Amino acid sequence: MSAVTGQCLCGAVQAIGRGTADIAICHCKMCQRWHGGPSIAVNFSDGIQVVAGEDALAWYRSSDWAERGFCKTCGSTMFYRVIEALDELSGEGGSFDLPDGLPIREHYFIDEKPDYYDFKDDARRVTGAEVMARYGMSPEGKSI
Amino acid sequence: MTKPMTGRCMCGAVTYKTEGAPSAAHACHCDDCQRFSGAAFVGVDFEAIEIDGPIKWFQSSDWGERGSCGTCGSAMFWRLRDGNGPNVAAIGSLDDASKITAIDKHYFADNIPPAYAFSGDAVRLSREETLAFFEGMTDD
Repeated sequence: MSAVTGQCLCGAVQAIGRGTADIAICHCKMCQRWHGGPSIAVNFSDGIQVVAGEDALAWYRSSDWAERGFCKTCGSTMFYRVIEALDELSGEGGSFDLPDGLPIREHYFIDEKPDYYDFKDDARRVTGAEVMARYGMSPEGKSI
Repeated sequence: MTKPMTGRCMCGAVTYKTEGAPSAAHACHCDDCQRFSGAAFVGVDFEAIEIDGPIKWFQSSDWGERGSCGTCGSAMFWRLRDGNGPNVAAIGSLDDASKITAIDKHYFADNIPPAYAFSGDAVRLSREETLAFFEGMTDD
């Protein structure tokens, strides 16, 4: 797959994703608060590069280990990254001009998913506890 | 009088209280909603929303504006600039949305990326049908 372009609503922040891409959907309450609903994230094997509007991009530290990037001008919710790997951005599907045929890798925090929606795919559903265990985190620090 | 619903952003700096008794949510899949919220904007209509905290409004079209938290960036609200339409809160920002059990309408459904699909048999309005639907509301 070649480069995929992305931007916020107002266009101040521009990004490019490179490599193969897949989707991961997070249902945790923190993502719901931030995006307004589930997070439909896109990950690229060769990463995401912000190519314009670094100064318009604000980072909010949402937990001890991660932060979330949004456009200061229009408020678009765009990126997630862990503090130990600040160059490795995970993007939001809505920010990118997604090509057809992307696979959904997993659904995270399925035990926090509200009843009002569901998705049709049969990708693996993992609980918050399973996600936290995978990354060696304790349940107390549940917010991601 | 219906009990108000409450909500807040991710960091808690922006809080709000609503008036009105919605029973369902609607999902908008237009380009602007996807850019703003990162995917579909699933909203709930209220007659009024009383907001407290560092809310930041961005005018996203001639007729609409979007509200987000100035501190953490949470994508929270949509409203008409002239104040005559519903006040829409993102369902994820509500403290307790358990009484809202379904999405009853998908707007701009022909713009949903093929990467994911919501289940359920809620009506799917195309771009054309969505615009006609709102045009009809304006005419009333």
